Amino acid sequence: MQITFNMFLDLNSDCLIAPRVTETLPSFEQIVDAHYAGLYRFGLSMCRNEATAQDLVQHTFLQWARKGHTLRQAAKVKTWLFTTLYREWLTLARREKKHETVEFQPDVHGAVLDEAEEEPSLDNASLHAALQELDPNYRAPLVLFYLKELSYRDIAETLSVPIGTVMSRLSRGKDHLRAILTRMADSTAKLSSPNFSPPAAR
Amino acid sequence: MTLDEARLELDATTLRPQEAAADALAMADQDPGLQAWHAQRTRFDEAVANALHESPIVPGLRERLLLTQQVQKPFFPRWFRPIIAAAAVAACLALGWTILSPVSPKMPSWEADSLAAVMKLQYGLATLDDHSPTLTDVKTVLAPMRAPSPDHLPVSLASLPTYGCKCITIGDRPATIICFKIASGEEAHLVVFSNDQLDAAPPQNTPRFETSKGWSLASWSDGRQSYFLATKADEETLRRLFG
Repeated sequence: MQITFNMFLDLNSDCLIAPRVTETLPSFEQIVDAHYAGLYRFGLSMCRNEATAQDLVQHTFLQWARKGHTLRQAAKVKTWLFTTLYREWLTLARREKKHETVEFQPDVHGAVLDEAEEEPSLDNASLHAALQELDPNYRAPLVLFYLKELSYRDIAETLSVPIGTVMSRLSRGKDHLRAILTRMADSTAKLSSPNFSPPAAR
Repeated sequence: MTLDEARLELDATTLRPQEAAADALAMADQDPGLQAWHAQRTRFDEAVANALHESPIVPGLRERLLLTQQVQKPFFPRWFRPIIAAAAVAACLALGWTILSPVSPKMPSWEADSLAAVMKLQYGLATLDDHSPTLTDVKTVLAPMRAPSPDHLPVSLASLPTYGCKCITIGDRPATIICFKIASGEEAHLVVFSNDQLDAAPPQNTPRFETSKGWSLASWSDGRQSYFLATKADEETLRRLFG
C-alpha cells in the first residue's frame, strides 16, 4: 500500500510539476541592475585591473544582448553571465599567459590554521591583496562563493568543474586565504612595532 | 557521512546555510568540536564576504552597459525573424530559378509561357491532371474536356508511351501538356495549342530546333495547331523523335 502511494506521488510530481522549459526572461535593464555589480567584483578579483574588469563585464553583457534570447530558463541567467565572464577572463589570461596552474602546498603557501586561532584583520584592500596571492583555480570559486551570488553547485557549473572539486577548492582556498591574511597582519604588526628597525642601507 | 565530508559540506554552505545537507547539520549539532569549527568558519566567511562587497563599483558602468543593448538591439523583432528567413529562402530560390531558367526574354510569349509550365512539371512543382499510359488514352481523356489535343504528330513521337497530361493556359489561350517517356527514362513534354491569331507562331510543318540552358526545344505548326516540344535530353535525341 505504501509503495502504491509513493508511486502515485512520483507520477503526479512528474506530470503536474513539470519544469517550465520556456519562461519570460527579465528585461536587459533588470538583468544589468541585478548582476553588474557582482560581475564587476568577480572580474576585478580575477584580473586585478579596473579597466579590464569593466571590459569583461561589458563583453559579458554584449554577449547577453546577442545571444541571451536563446536561454530558455530565467533561473539560469546568473550562471550564464558568470560563466561567460569567467570564460572571457580565461581567454584573456591564456593570451597573457598569466593563468598558471599551481597546486596548493601548505608548506609553501601557508599552513592550515587551528580552529582556535584568532581571526585575521580584514578590510577590502587587504582582502584583494590576499586574493591576488591565491592561485586562480582557488581564487575563482572563492570569490564566487564570497559574492554570495551562486551556490556551490552553480559555482561548479560556472567553472565547469565537478562539485566535489569545488567543495575541496573552497575549503583549501579558505585555509590559504586565512594564512595569507594572517601573515599580512603579522607583517603589518612588525612594521608598526616600536622595536622594529629597518635593515641598514648599504 | 564522515566527519571530513561533513566539514566539506558545511564549509561550502556557511553563507547559504539553507542549502547545507541535513546530515552535515545533524552531525554539527551532535559534535561540539565540529560545531565550534563551523561557527568559526562562518564568522570568517561573513567577514570576508562583507569586505569583498565593499569594493566600489566604477561610476558610469551601469549606464555604459545599458548602452550595449541599444547597440545590439536587433532591427527586426524576434517573432519576425522566421518570416525574414522564409523570405530570404524564397528570394534565393527565385533568384536561382531565374538564373537557371531556360526562358529567354527573346522568346515569343507563347514559348516562354509553355517552357515555364513545362519546367514546373519537370521539377515537380506541378502535377499531371491525368496519368494515361498511351497517347490514345490521353486523347480519350482530353476529348470530353474540349482541351487542345494533337491532330497529327510524327510517328516516332506518337508511338512513345506517355506519363499523362495537364491542361494549362498560355496567356488566355487553352493548351495541353502531354508528357512522353523517351529513351533512358527522360521525359519530353509536348505543348499543344491553337495558333489562331498567334503572333510569331512556329513554322508550318517544319520543326524549328533550339537549345537553352540544358533544354532541347522544338516548335512547329500543323494547320491551325501549334506544337512545342521540350526535353532535358540532348538535341540529337530530340531530333530522332521526328523520324
